[in-house]
Amino acid sequence: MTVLILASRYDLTCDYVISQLRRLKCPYHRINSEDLPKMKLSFDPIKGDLHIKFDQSSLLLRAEEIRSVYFRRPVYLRDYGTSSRSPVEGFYRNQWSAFIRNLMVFEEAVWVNHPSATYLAEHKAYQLHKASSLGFQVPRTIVTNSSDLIDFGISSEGKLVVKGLDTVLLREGPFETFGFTQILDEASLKREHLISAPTVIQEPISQKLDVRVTAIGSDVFAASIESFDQPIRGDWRSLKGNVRYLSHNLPNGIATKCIELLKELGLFFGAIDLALSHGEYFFLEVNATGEWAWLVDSAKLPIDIAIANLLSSPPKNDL
Amino acid sequence: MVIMIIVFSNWELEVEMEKPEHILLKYAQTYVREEKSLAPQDCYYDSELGVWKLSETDQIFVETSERAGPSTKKQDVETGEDQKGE
Repeated sequence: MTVLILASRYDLTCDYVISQLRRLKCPYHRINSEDLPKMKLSFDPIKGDLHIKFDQSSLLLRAEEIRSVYFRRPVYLRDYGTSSRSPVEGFYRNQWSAFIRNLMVFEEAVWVNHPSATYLAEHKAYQLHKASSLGFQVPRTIVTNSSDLIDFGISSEGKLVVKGLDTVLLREGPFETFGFTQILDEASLKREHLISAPTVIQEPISQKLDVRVTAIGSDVFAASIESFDQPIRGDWRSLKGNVRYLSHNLPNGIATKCIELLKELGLFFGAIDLALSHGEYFFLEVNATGEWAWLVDSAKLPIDIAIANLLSSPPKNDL
Repeated sequence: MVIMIIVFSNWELEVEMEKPEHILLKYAQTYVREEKSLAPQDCYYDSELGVWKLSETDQIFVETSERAGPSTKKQDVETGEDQKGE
């Protein structure tokens, strides 16, 4: 039985997992999307047999021999704006991306995570709805394109959180534009342009401590994200290197909710962002494809070991 | 002599107004995308093992102290999440 890793060769995070799989002497095969056009492949979707010839080697992967799949590729391709790719290159990319996703034929294997579960879980309104139904505290939220409708008394000290329903990322030529979460005056929001696209408006969490939870099956690891000099307001990612990550003790009740949330969303892995404020934990969002490798050293969290353990000895696939 | 007859219709003269910028774009940050190699420095990719190795010592990169440098996405310009819809 083998672990199948579907990744990019530049995805160093997978190297962390492979290092642990090797320690466990667990067989694995890594297929990188960049290498696909250099391989000769034949996939029988009925039998579930995948023949691969690459360089001097030949491999036959049979569906029944795959115990788990570590899926580290996109579940869909976004259009970020002007692309430097030619239409033909785009065509190749689309077809190979679809090929990788069609390996869902390996349905007896435990997928970390299954593309369909990732696709569903990536939707912010849906996540908040599910988290709330499981008993998480969540900030009051609306999704709107009208500043006229932002008037339901959720603002804290006249401020509101403003963020995209989807990632705010545009590319044009050599330039990239990225939108972090903002905290803005409610009064000024009335004068802003929202009508052209929906926006997420939330009550801000005051005096918060950001906590990044990485949940793998029933293992939960938590790290607080703290600035070196001042409390973090808004999006900690905007502070780049000026933050530190410390191992954080999560109350059992919150850890249990994190595990339940993964199950509810059909996930075996999730990076969950919480905010701790005045002793209460608030759910902000979950990312089914969130990065974690940087926490292994910075916060001393053995997430790589937990993922390798899950892949090498997956639970019964009844999600 | 040329007589010019100009007829103004009742149509409104539309002035192309510059469309206001959406709030999410107004506060977004724009920067030059760095074109740099995605491979860890001084490493080669071992296709058989499926990992990057240090060229000089042949050690698996993530099993060395070199990995503590900016080698994962979070150390780079944070563009939010990671493998989503790339």
